[in-house]
Amino acid sequence: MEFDEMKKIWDTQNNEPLYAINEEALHRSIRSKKKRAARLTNINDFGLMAIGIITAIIYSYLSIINEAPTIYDYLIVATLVFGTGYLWVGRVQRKKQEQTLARTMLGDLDHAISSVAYEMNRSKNMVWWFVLPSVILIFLNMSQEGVSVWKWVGVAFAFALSALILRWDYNRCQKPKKQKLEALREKLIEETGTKPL
Amino acid sequence: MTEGKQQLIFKHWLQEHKALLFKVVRTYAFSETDRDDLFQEISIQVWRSIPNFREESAVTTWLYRVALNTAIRWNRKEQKHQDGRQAFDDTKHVLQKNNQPNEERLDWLYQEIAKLDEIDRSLCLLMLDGFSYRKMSDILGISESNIGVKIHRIKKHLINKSEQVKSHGI
Repeated sequence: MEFDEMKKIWDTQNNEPLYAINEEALHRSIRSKKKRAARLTNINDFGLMAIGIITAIIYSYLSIINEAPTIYDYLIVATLVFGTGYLWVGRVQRKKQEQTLARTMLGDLDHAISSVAYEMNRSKNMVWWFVLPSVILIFLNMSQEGVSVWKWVGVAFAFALSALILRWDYNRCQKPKKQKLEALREKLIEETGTKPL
Repeated sequence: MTEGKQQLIFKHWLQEHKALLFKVVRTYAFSETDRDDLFQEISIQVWRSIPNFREESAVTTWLYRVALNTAIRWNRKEQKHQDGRQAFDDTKHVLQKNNQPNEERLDWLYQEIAKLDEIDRSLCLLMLDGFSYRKMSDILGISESNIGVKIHRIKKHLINKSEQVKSHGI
């Protein structure tokens, strides 16, 4: 069969579309998907920020108001507030990025890759700039107070778990996602002749 | 842009260019449920893209870009989460199949396109819909010369396949 004949076969579907669209169901679905996606993102963003702020408030209340605060107490609260601020800035930046739409498929892929890279950086930074400083400050504070060994173990376990979850998210979710997008990008721009059909 | 205007444009595009969207859906999704799901996903992205449309390109070029990009991403997501797809049992299916006589040769063409990788499928759709290399380049963001070589390869592949079908007396 020649290519022109294939094109004729292809064009037959222009006059008689294969489907009819149930517009009411489509609009309902679009509305519900939009709401679901926005709700999930908001729960994720505001949930993490609420944890940061509530923890900071509780810690302030327990350490600063009830007892004689040490420098470490102030620093722990500052770290929690800084971490929450970092999440807020990330949310604002992501919202801004969502408003812009790249003109080509390659542009869209670049956009998607940079979004994943941003998420990966966030996971990494959370370990180095949030979890680790918090651990150090809390341990320093605890060493001055002479707390029980169980408290040491409990706090160490909680932080190890946080670091592991962030690491897992980085290695198992974000990294493969980025690699797949990059592979797709490579495939799109690959010079031909390298891979036979 | 007001939501009313966006809705009006969306309805108009859907009415005028539904055949284009169906082609993309049929190329990337192979069961009725998947086609319904992909069509909904593409519709959402088309809806979202309306405020960004600056009339610098034709509507068909724009729609192909949005639809193909969504389909490729959807395809990757589906490969990873075969069981994780959202079920839409609570709503009626968006796509309702029209009664049409079976077009075996068109089915064969779709089957052959489905065997190509996801990027070549996009190129094949654009090629069969008569897009110029320049417009394909606008949609995909790769050079015209690169497209030219790829298209040549796909054409040759499809013609070879059709010869094989003929030689088997089908």
